[in-house]
Amino acid sequence: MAHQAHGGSYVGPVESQGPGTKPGTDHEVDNHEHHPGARTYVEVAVVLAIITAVEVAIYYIEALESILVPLLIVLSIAKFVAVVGYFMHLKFDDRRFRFMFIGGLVITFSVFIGLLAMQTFKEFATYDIPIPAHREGAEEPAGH
Amino acid sequence: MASVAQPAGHAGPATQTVARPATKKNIGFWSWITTVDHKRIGLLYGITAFAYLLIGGIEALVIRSQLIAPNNDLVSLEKYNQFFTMHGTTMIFLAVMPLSSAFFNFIIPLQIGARDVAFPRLNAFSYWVFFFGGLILSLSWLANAAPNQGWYGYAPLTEKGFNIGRNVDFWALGLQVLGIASIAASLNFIITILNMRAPGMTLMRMPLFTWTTLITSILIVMAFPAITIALALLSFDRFAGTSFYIPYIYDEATRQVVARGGDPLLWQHLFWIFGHPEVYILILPAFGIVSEIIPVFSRKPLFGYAVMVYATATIAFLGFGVWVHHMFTTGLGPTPNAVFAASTMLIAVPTGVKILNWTSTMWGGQLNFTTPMLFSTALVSQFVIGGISGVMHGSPPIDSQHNDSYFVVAHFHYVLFGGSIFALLAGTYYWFPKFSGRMLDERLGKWHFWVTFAAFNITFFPMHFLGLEGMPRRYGTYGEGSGLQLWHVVSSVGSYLLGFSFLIFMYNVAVSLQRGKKAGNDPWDGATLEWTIPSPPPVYNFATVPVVRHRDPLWEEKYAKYEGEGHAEEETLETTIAGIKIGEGQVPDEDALEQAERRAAADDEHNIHLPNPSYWPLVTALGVFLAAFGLIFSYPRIPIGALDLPLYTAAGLLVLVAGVYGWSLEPAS
Amino acid sequence: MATAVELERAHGAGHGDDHGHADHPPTSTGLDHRKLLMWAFLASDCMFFGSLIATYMIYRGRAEDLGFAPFPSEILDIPYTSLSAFVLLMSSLTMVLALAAIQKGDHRGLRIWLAATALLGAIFLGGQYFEFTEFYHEGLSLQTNMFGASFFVLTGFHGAHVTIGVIWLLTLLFLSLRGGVKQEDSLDVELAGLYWHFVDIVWIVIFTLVYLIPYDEVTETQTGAFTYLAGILRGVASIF
Ligand code: HEM
Ligand SMILES: [Cu+2]
Repeated sequence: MAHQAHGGSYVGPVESQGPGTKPGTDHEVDNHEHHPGARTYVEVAVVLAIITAVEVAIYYIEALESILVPLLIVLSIAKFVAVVGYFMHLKFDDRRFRFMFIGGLVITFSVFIGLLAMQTFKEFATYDIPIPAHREGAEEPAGH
Repeated sequence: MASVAQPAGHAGPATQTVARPATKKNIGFWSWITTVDHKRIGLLYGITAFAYLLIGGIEALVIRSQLIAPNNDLVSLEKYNQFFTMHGTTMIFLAVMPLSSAFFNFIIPLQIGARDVAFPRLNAFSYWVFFFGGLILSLSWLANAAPNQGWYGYAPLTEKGFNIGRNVDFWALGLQVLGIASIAASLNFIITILNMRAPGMTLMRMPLFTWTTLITSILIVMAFPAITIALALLSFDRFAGTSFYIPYIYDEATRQVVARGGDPLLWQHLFWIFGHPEVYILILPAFGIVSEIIPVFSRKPLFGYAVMVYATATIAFLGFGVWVHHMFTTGLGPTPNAVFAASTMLIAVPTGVKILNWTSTMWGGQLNFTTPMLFSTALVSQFVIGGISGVMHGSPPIDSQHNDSYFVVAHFHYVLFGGSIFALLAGTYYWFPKFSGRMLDERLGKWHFWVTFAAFNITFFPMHFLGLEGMPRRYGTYGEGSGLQLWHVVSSVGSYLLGFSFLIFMYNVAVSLQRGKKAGNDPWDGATLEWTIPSPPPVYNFATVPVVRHRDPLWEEKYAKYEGEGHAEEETLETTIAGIKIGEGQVPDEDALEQAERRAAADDEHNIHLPNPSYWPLVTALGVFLAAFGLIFSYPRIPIGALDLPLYTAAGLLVLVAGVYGWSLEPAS
Repeated sequence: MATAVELERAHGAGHGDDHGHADHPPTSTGLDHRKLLMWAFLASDCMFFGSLIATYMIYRGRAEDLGFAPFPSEILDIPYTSLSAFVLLMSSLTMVLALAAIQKGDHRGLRIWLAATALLGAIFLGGQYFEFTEFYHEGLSLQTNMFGASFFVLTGFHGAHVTIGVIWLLTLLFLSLRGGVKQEDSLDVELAGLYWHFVDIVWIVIFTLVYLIPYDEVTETQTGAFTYLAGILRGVASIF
């Protein structure tokens, strides 16, 4: 019956074979314990919709102009975390999945924040674009 | 070859039946085309990549012949550009990376006690995509449009304004296709290593080569997307008239320089965000290979195994934070230069730790200088030279002298040839018995080693002097009275000798395949699982799945004296880095291991399931090839609605979709 | 037996006979091959979109700097795109409901929610198509300015991901109608879902960075934050 019953030695490919997580395996039991149900999903979706509405609303509120950018960033991070945590189950799933994905995010963020910092804040103008005539007298391009 | 029938009794203690007994049908031409066996795919990778190594070598000889005399005109300067570009591109993407892949494919499942990789068809797909990517690059010679802008492809030299022909398109699309192959293969190896280890093989019991393969694969998966985007943006510039890397253009009509707003520096950033991890992709497998060989021929377990693993992981992680050291002279300013100089110095620390561990492994060991050991110790010494010159130009003021000079050429050949190629040759001598069942000849091997070692240093050491005397990189000529000729001649003569050393190697392989000493299971008295099975291994690798109780499972089995070692090791099975637990907490429970062992033994009565051969990986890869090919040869075109697609691209996309559907609907085994 | 189960969790020594699911892959980590593959792929895709988004951010505001109209502030239609963003967000809900349905063996639910997800995805793509054509008519093309180039390439690559997702979902729907997606196959749906949600979170980022953050202030804010950062780095560097 359990003719493939040894650990790392699984011999067949699993691509498109289909039987991934089966009910009754340890893995699945875990899922049933922690995974949220349809109700939670709808609740999360409502929260997401509200955040989106708030984002769009504050975009039009002049009074918030000075803190608009940080506010928008915080709100979108909240949305990001909610989708990844609940819809992609990362909050409930095995910690090794979390490790993988967050590792990818961390490398991506550190590399590109560094890149953006260097590109935005050039200490040394590396190119000298002639400003088109109709913008003569306009302020210097920002970031130089 | 690897699947030629083995007498069943040979394979293991118990008799057993195999689902697909090797018949004539299983060894013919078509069986290689449709194979999903990791050993055959490994051999395919190895053979193809070795062919490219020879092609890249010939290109190098052309370069050296051009430079043997001042004002030489063996090749035109335009052709010279093509030769050095194709030499670099070929060696990095078509020789060293796929040669490493050959070892990953053949050795990793054997080292972790698995019967295949996690996704055998994805593995075949990776090979075929690599094959077609190489084909695209090679076809450029036939079209008389070989890439001519350097392997780093700096913008705006790659832009239409400077490079009107198809040269850059061949390069950009060839690399794009090769990137798909690398990412697919690496995803496969990450899953294979994490998920298919034999019972009892915890992460901290994996052989070091398995570790470096895992970490290299992670690097590939994280670094290649950056060049994918960089190349995509370049292709948009060339095909669609965007100006991602074009700051301004000269407008013929108005006779004015017009700003476009692009930035060539963005290319350099994206390229080196990929490019520096790439150099670790080239060297880490080599480090893994010598970490297997040195302990075996020192008769001592690897010194500081755990530290070695952490050093590898640290190198890989820091590798994402040093890319600007390739751009010190682009004027980014003092802050980026200082930060990246510091990180570059930092990364030399774990690298030095590795050198220390290898020498400490040899310290007090019973050294046996076989050919693989000779090449491995040569790596240790030659890599130190390359590493030190690397640290030198890790300092911005020094780098402003070295940059774009022959000194840098010396640096990266010491790390790439003295590092990667030496290790790949060491690995070939070490595992050849496992591939073929026969030993490579030791006497010829020693000749091969000493000629290679001498020729390598004659060729590349003088490049340090040339660089410091002012010879720039990428120049196809130099002046009569420049005083540079002496070292150029020495270097060129060395390169011919180096070419000759490869003839010795090929002769050795040819002779040994016919008449080499029969290897048996374990010719070197090895420590890891691949030496427990016949050479060449049967299709199913392990008749009985092994159960692992030690970091050097075979030594433990053969020599009880290593038992003491085993108890000490268990403490390092888990550790915490920056609050993250690495490794697996508990030591596997002995009762459970025995149970797994009994189950594995009982298992022999049943069939071993092997994946079926499949055409679909090849079909899908062909789709990728046609799609890319159509972008280079963009006529004839067919309009589909608003889209105006090149015919080959449209056909390629259709084949691709058919391939993907055929693949996913086909039962896997 | 207890020890065997433990071992199986930690090191994947296979299943005891009490489970009797021979075709469930016993793996060293206890995690499924394909799911692990999908997460590794998504980590890689972070870098893919990271490169694209960083490119966009580098060229953000360059059209204004050079005075090459049309500018994003004139042309981006926030209410319209908010609706698209909302549609894509809701498709994530329907996707996860499809998964919940098949895990309970509810095939009808699976089909309804898969169809809904594919439909919402298609609406999003239709919206993008009209947005692109509209911009084109207003004079923005790939070649016009850096905004056109980086905008179309970034959102175009995202759109391509969505297109692949829609095709994948439709394929699953088709297979399910033919009876090919069983309760045990819920992983097939889960994998499509992971991909789909990932495409959605990329849009969350794009929506904020490309559409919502105003164009007149951004360069300032960006420079402000980075000036601060550079100050710290300088301080650190001066120690050496
Ligand atoms: C101790 C570790 C190392 C350090 C500190 C280091 C440092 C550097 C630096 C600073 C440069 C830029 C020089 C310039 O263009 O001015 C460079 C170039 C280069 N390095 Fe290394 N390196 C190291 C190891 C390696 C390894 C292991 C490899 C490959 C196996 C490698 C391959 C290269 C290549 C190919 C280039 C030239 C890139 C080009 O075409 O411009 N390096 N290295
Ligand atoms: Cu580097």
